[in-house]
Formats: sequence, structure tokens, C-alpha cells
Amino acid sequence: MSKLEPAQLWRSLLILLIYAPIILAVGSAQFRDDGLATRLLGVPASVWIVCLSMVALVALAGRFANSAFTADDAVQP
Amino acid sequence: MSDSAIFYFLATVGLTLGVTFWAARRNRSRADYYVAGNRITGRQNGLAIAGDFMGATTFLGMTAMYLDNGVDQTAIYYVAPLAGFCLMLLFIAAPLRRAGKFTMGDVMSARLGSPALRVSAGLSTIAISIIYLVGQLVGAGALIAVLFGIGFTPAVIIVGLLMTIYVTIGGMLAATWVQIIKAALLLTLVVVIALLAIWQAGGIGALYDQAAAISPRGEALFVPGASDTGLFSSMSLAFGMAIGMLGLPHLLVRLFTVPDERAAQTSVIVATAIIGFVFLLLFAIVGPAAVAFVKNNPLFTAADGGIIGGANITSVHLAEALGGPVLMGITSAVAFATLLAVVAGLVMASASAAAHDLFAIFRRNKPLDEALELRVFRLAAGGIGIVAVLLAILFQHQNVAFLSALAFAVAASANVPVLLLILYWRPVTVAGALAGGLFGLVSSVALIILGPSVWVKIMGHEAAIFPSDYPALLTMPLALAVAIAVSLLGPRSAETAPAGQGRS
Repeated sequence: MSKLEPAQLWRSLLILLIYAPIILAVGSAQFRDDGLATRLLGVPASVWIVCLSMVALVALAGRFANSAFTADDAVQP
Repeated sequence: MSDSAIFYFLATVGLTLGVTFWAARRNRSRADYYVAGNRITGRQNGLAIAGDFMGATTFLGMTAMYLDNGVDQTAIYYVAPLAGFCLMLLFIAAPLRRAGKFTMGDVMSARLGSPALRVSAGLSTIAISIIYLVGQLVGAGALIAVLFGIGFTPAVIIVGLLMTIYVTIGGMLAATWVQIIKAALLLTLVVVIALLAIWQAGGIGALYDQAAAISPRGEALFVPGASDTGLFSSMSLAFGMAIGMLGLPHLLVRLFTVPDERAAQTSVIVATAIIGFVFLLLFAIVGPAAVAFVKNNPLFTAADGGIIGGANITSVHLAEALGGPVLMGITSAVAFATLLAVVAGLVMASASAAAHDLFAIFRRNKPLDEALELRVFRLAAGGIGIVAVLLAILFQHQNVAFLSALAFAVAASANVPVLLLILYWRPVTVAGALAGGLFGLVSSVALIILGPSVWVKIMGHEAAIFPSDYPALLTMPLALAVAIAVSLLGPRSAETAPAGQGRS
């Protein structure tokens, strides 16, 4: 039985904080915003947002690597 | 088919078959066949997971989707898997590796010691894998038929034969190295295409200018939310893709191939980084480049205004536009390797579930006979290969887009709630886990059938009974609630056993 640690829940909340707004912004007609086609350094703002969110998620995975596992949470019968 | 395409196609088949026979000489025990003897390192496994995950949908389908949709909706397909891998790292990777040996059934029975749960996990693994496999094979058959100028049926039989050879002869070691080779090839190819696109367009800003000038949608190509997809469908698609990944058996069994939990986590991190990098290039550069160089290009436009060979060939046309026949030949071969790697992983997961989990029903308390179990494994791989090829031929003219949605929805609704409860919630009972899994399976399949893609487009009814093609946002939490409720209110199972008492 693995122990569900508060840190895991906080980290998953962090993932949702990055993930959910992106999904709302890019996925649904209710949140359409033509301003997101505005270019920044030649690249549309929408592309910047999606790419930065991808980078943030990969960085989070790397960050969690150092702390996601401890020997103390080994399976106990 | 050009000479270069034939050369690279044969080189790919030769290389992967060489790896298979190399692996076959190293396989001795069932652990070698099922999980490559746990000798894959975390980094190798990360590459293999990336190779397993980035299928034809990623390389071909998502670029094709960008051609018409642009940023809209496409972004979900790129962001959702990365969120899913983060969640897999947080909640699944280490405890799954710790609790399991060869299959999902091991994990299910490690805590509750129930043969019924092992069988349920085995059936679920086979069902999800075959659904996914048929979708991949139908896509593969259509693609290879166009790329290499052969009929659909021979194309599917070639893929089916190769995937069965990889798994029955080379086992997980061969599947792993086929996936690693494919991931390395795909990574290199995407970088080359992206660099060539920026260079030939004259910079990244110029690339976006060119795409906007050519697309009928103009700058709206980069406007999100432009389609009429509703809030529920968008959120449910995103939720189902991210959560469904945590229950896809062919990805999860890869976590058993490494020696320990730390390596399992390293695998997920490496896979996330590779997939994130490839997705970034596909979304930010290759997608717009496809619009800029392929859309409305007379060389690639059919008489009806569509793409010659279908939209899924867009990536291959883009390679030809940027690098001529040589790059086109390499891209075709990489597309072929991409398909082979994914289907080999799917056959591997389902054959090991059949031999290790379902065969347990017949073995009962008899002593383990590894040679017999391995014979069952090979027979199962062959049988699953034949069934999948026949189903793919049967469904070749059908709209199979819903098969992928079905696989993700079933994985999210039937597997994930049970897996999370078994790993983290002590009061879960056998009855609760079975009830939750069954509810998730039935509800997700039923709502997909009642949704627009099947109920209206395939079955021809006027209006859908369930308004979305993506039910996971509804069915996964409900399945979780059912499992919890039955565990708390139903009978306590006499089968509940301490960890480690499941069959191995």
C-alpha cells in the first residue's frame, strides 16, 4: 500500500493550474479570443502559450524526479 | 513508390528483424520474454516509452489535423499527454513497479490476492489493446497502401506478420529495441524537417506569414477556440487523454522492464522530455510548415482540392517538399517503423496478459511450468495478431476514429479508478474494484455508442443521445464513486490478502 503524501496532491494541483487554463483557452469555442493570434517575435501568442505550457510540464516532471520517490513510501503489506 | 522509399523501407524491416533475432538469442526465461529480464535502463526505457507512445497519430495524424484546424483543438492533443505523463510520474510509476512483476494483473492481485481481479485485469488489458491495435492497423493499412502502392489487405497482413514475429520470437527485448530505434529515428527526422522548414521559409516569423497567407483561414489559423466544440467536450477530451494514459496497459507494462522504482521514474521523465521536445517542434514548426509548403501546392493537391493520398500523408509530402525524394523515402520508412513499434507494444501487452493472467484460470494451483506459459504466450501473440488483422480488414471502410477515443475512455474509466484505489486506498475490496471497473467499462462504451460519432455518423440516427464523443469526464469519476461505495457498503471480501500473495 503506497502512502498518498500531501506533496503529491500539491504537485498534481500545480499540474492542473498549468493544464486547465490552457485547455479552456485553446479547446473551447466559449473561450475564443482573436487576440491570441497577435504575434510576439513573429510567433502567434497562442503558440507561445501552448509551447510554454509544454515546457513547464516537462520542467515539472524533471523537478518532481528529485522528490517524487522516497524509500519511506515503499509498499507495506 | 520511389527507389529510395523501397530502399529505406527494406532497411527498416531488415534492421528491426535483425534486432528481433539478436533479442531471441538472449531470451531464456519468461521474465526475459515478458519484461526483458528487468534489464532495460531507465533512459533506454524512456526512449522506448516515447517510441511506444508516439504512434502514427502523433507523427501523421496531428500534422494532418493542423493543416485544417491550425491551433484550434490540436493543442489539446499536444498538451494532454504531457500532463498525463506528469501524473503518471507522481502517482503511478514507482508504486506500480513496486507492486507488479509482469502485468497489470500482478498489481491488482498483489494487494487483494483475488483471481477474479487478475482475470478482470487481463481481460481489460486485452480489450483495450485490441481496440487500440485495430485502430492502428486500419490507419497503418491505409497509409502503407498509399505509401508503397499496395492493396490494403496485403499491407495489413505485412504489418500483422511483422508485429507477430517481433513479439513471438524476440519478446519484450525486441519490442523495446524496435521502439528505441523508432524513437531515435523519429526524433532526428522531426529535427531535420523543422530546421529545413525554418531555413527554406527564411525564419520562423516568415514561416508563420507564409502559412497565414496560404491558409483560407488566414491569421484565424492561429486562433484557438474557433471551432464549435463545446466546453464539456473539450474538457472531457483533455481529461480523458491525460487520465486515460495512466490506464493504457501497453504503456504501463513498460514500467516493469526496469530494475526498480527509481528507474521507472527515470523512464517517465526521459519519455516526457523526448515527447515534449518532439511535440514542441511538431506543433510550433512542422504544423505551420505543412500549411506553408503542402497546402494548395499543385504537386500535392488532388483534383478535388484535397491532399493526394489523403491528409494523413501530409508529413510525407512535407518531407518531399523540403528534402526531395531522399527525405521523402526516409520519412516513409520512419512512418512505417512508427506503426510497427506501436503495434508490437500492443501485441506484447495483450499476449502477456493472456498467458500470465488468463492462463492462471486453467493452471489453478498446479506448479508453474514456464515453458508451457511461454508457449501460451507465443500462441496468444499469434492469435491476437490474427484477430487484429481480421478485424482491421473488416473495419477498413468504417470510421475508426472512435476506436482511439474508445481505448482512452475505457482505460480512463475502467482501469484508472481501480488502479488508483488499489495502490492508494486501503479499504478497497475485491467487490468494489470489480464493480468500479465494470461500471467504467460499460458506461464509457455505452456513452461513446450513444455519442455523435457512432450514433449519428455510423448508425445514421438524426441526433445523438449523449451530446459528446468524449465521456471520460463523466464516467471516470462515476466509476471511482461506484468502486468506493461498493467497497464501503458491500460485503468485505474474504479474498483480501496481504501484498505479495498474488500469483507470480
